[in-house]
Amino acid sequence: MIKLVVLVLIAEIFTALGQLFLKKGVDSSSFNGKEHLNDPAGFAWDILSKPVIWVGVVLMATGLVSWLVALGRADLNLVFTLGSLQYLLIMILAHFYLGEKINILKLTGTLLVMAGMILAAAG
Amino acid sequence: MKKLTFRIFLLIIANDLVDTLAQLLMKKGVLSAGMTDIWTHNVIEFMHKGAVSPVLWLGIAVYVLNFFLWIFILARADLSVAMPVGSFCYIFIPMAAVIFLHESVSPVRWIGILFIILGIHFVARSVPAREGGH
Repeated sequence: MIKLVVLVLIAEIFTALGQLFLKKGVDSSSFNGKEHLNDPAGFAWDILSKPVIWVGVVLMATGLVSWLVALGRADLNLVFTLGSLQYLLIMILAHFYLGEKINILKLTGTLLVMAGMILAAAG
Repeated sequence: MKKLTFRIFLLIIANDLVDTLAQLLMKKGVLSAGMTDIWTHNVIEFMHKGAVSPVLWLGIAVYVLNFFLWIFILARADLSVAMPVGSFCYIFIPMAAVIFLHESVSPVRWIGILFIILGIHFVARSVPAREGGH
């Protein structure tokens, strides 16, 4: 059980940091606004040429390996519901490093999603 | 603060469906390796067994597709909005786990899922929904 929690926490932290780097990379792309939908290949190529994206990919890949090992140890549902901490982590990291505002609706909604996860885990 | 248009909302739901498929395939793949206690002492053995599981590789391929879909979403939405709104997979996955993996979901878990739906609604409402809205 402790091992599983450790595995999922490693997966969550690496994935959260990976997401942060991905978002940084996407935001730094010259494809802003709607152009990226008109030229998906160009956008994908532009994204893949950014080192910050690859840092994100390596972090997420590490998270994924930890995740896969966790999947082999318990019910898919239980492993997933332990992941609720990621939402808090993402909201806080996005606030401090991406300048995304936290308002009362977002905070309430995020906490509800997390409460839902914890309830689901308890069941 | 980026707005959350209906189009992006649908894209996030599509992303969740692809994510559900990837998770199901990966779980099937891990199960097919026939190892229930994977840790540092046998992780190499697991990677070896996992490497011969086509279902696991299919799961990883779908996961890569999911990655590109996610990149497109990130280009149009705030991370702290896309993440919770993307938790539809927590509703799809238990449903899929019941149907395809024959796992059981208790009433308390279904109540948890209702909380998640409510939470998604709140987060989606925390940012403007239309062009030029505030």
